[in-house]
Amino acid sequence: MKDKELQRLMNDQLDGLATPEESERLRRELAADEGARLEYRNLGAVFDALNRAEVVEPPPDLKQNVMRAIHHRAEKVLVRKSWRETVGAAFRKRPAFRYAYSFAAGAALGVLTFALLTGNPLTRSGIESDPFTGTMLPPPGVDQLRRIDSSEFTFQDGRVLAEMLAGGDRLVARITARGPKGTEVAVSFDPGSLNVAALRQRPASANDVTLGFGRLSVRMQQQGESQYLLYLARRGPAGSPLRIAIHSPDGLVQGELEIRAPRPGS
Amino acid sequence: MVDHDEDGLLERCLEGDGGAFGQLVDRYQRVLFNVSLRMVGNREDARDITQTVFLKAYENLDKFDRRHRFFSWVYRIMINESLNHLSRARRMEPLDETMASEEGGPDEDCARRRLHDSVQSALMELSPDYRQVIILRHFAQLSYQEMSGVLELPEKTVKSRLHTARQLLGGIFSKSGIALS
Repeated sequence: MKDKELQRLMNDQLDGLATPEESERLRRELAADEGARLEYRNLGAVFDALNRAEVVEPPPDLKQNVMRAIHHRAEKVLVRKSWRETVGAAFRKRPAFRYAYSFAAGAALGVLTFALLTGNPLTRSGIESDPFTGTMLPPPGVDQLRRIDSSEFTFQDGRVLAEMLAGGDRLVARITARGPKGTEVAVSFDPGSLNVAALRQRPASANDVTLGFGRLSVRMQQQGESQYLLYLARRGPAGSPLRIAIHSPDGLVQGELEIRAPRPGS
Repeated sequence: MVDHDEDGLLERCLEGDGGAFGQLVDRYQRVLFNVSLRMVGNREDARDITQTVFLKAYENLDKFDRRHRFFSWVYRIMINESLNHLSRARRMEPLDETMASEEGGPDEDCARRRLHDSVQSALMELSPDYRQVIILRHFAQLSYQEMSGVLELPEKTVKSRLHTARQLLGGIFSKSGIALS
């Protein structure tokens, strides 16, 4: 029997797909060939290991996060739709609006052309040009914000200082981190109550930075201290604290950062 | 083949019933999270990917061809998201510490945990093409026909790829000196 056919028979037998005739054919092959028996045993062990590997339960907040995001998007669609309907209705009632719209669009195009011909004003010196990832909103100065909470984590060859700064509806989580290669700092927040406005990194580093759904993760790839500024905007009065989890060579350490200033007297 | 119960849920979702989509999340979150976890090897990334997959499914539900099975479509989104994630990642971790640390405990069966970690490490050594067939067959329990639908490959190719993947996995186990049984 050819190797390929023998392989197929073995896999089908272990998969439970072999017919009684095929099982019998395999039994005869195995009885006659010691090499095939060893191969079959090894393949059986692979099946066994895969079948015994346990199923991991998903995080308990997975569904909640999905449903919250869907709800939020549905609200945005409704708002967008009603805005469009209002404008659409105005245009239908007043045809003169169409001319006003054309005039405004033409003027905007003119301004844009002028800016392109005379040089992009945003490239002038003096404008903020630190490297950062995330959306390109101009971040407010951190110095004007008030520190409302902080936590410091120290571990072998490393330290992470997590601070929450606030001013009006603006929140900034400032993470100053130093640690051995492979250390991971994860900041999780409720995406239903906080929007990410921007993320800045000072100085630019080779660390792996991932901004996910309600989560910022920094995995250390280089020595030295780096600072991350996560600019957040409140979406409503509610909101749970930010969670910080640090996976270092010492193990896992966790903490929280309040997003609301403590009330006077509390 | 059409699952009438699921078809009813999809119908309600398209009519704007968010609760119906919640039931689909309940139905698939466990298996999708595990597929993603086995693909990327990191619990936090797997969570983000699974959430993204559900959102993408919800947003594109009107484009889903109802003659096909919903889960094949969602698995395909999941596999694509996981592969995109892997291609974005600068390097692959052989084993996610969070998986090991969170499952540890004084009463934990150490042998079982070692096996779990070894299987994950070995999976991460396979190329994504081989890894995905192992995961779909052994962790998502899909048939060859279903895998062929998800991967958009002929059944014969799926089968031969799976056989090779199992053989490679056996080689990795032997090379690492992992006792399987």
